[in-house]
Amino acid sequence: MNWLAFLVLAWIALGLENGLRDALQLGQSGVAPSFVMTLLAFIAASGSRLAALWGAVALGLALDLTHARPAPGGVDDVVIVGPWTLGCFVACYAAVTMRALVARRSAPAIAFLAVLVAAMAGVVATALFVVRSWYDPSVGASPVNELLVRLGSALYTGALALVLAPALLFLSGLCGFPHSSQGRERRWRV
Amino acid sequence: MPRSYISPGRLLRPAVAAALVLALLPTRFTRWLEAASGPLGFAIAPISDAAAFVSRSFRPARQETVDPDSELARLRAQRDALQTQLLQSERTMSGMERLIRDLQGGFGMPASGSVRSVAATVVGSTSDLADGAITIRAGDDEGLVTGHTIAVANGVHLVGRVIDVGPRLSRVLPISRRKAGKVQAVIMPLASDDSMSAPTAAGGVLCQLEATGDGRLKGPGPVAGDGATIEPGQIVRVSDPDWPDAAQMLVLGRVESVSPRAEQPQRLEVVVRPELRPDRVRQVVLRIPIDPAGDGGAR
Repeated sequence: MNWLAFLVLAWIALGLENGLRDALQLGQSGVAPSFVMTLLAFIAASGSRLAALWGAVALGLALDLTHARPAPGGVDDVVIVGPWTLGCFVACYAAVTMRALVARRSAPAIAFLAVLVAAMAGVVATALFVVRSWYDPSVGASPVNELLVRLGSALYTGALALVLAPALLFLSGLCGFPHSSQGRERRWRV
Repeated sequence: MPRSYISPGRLLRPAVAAALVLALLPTRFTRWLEAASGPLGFAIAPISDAAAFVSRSFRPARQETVDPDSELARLRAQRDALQTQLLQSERTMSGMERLIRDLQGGFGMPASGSVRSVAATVVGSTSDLADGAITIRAGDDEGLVTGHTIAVANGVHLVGRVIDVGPRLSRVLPISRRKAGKVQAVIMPLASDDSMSAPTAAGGVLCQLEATGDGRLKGPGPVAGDGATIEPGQIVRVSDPDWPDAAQMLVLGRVESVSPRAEQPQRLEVVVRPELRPDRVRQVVLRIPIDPAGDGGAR
């Protein structure tokens, strides 16, 4: 994987996540698509196993650092590093394992993997926040509500991925994903 | 001779183990990691700022019914600002009367609660939309103080409180988020809402509001039948000693509905809808106390 291209894509995805996500929100439910999860699904579908997992750790860490959680009472916030890092890692591991089952260089496959990674990352992160809230009063968590919002967001992320996947697949050569160039060579050879 | 180098594959396990440990360590041990949050936020600000501009143009904080540049809109804004100033002055005067009584009893005089104002652009929001904060382009250089600085839109509408101050960017928790906690408010008498007569908080009804998560605020009002009249449309303003002085008498919204509480039918439940969505504003004015120690607020 071309890490420079990955960094640029991650920068854009994080910027859009923070700036545009609330405009795409369904009412005021908190259900909104994730640009970062779409990128994660793309690298999980196309990158080598190790590169995809390191990419997931990097994206998860970036999400943790930009996901400050307001402390109960609303006068302070806390940045917790770990829940999204682990969530993205576990989700990417699952996607890398499952990608052999789908035609991974297609938009529907990336959309399917985006739903999978967003849901798994959300479940893992929520579980860690809930465990932490048992002994850390600065973290308030309402598991059922957070889980519902994140699962709804996962489905919505799939819809967004369906739209973004053609553009990402177009850029896969730039990202240096191994099978993309092989595929092109094979096409020329045949 | 065997080469000794650490492969990325071998490093992955310790990295994931470290993430697990950090995820479960209590906050007091991981506060130092917050230092990395500011630079990352600053790095993505160019993209998120442009995206936030598009987002807030697409879904603004309030659907304007009159042209915002018209004379009518200008006069209305002026009237709202003057009404708020008058109510704040009234509140300050009654506070001073209390202070005089306290001084007669031998208490020391607290510092003055004067504030200065700084305008700041909203450059994005955290990804956790249900409980997340909005990010603004202002920080340490502007003298923001966590818990004591409040954000205001259109001069009189309370947006929220600054909960994190970074070198260049800071975070504001909108009042409409569940984690913003409870806020005491006063429901202004209907006669003083839209008329040109001077408003007064006397005769207002106190209530305690909390965000419902759908953009509205809800909470217990007075006991039904005790003479208080609450009708949809009445303006609701902040009157909470736990909030900074600069937030007092700012507008929270208008009463949307009043009904008996399910668990206490003799008590009324008031639902308030903000006139503009605090999480969708494009620009805020920050009210920063000159002497935070002498300012109210910051529970």
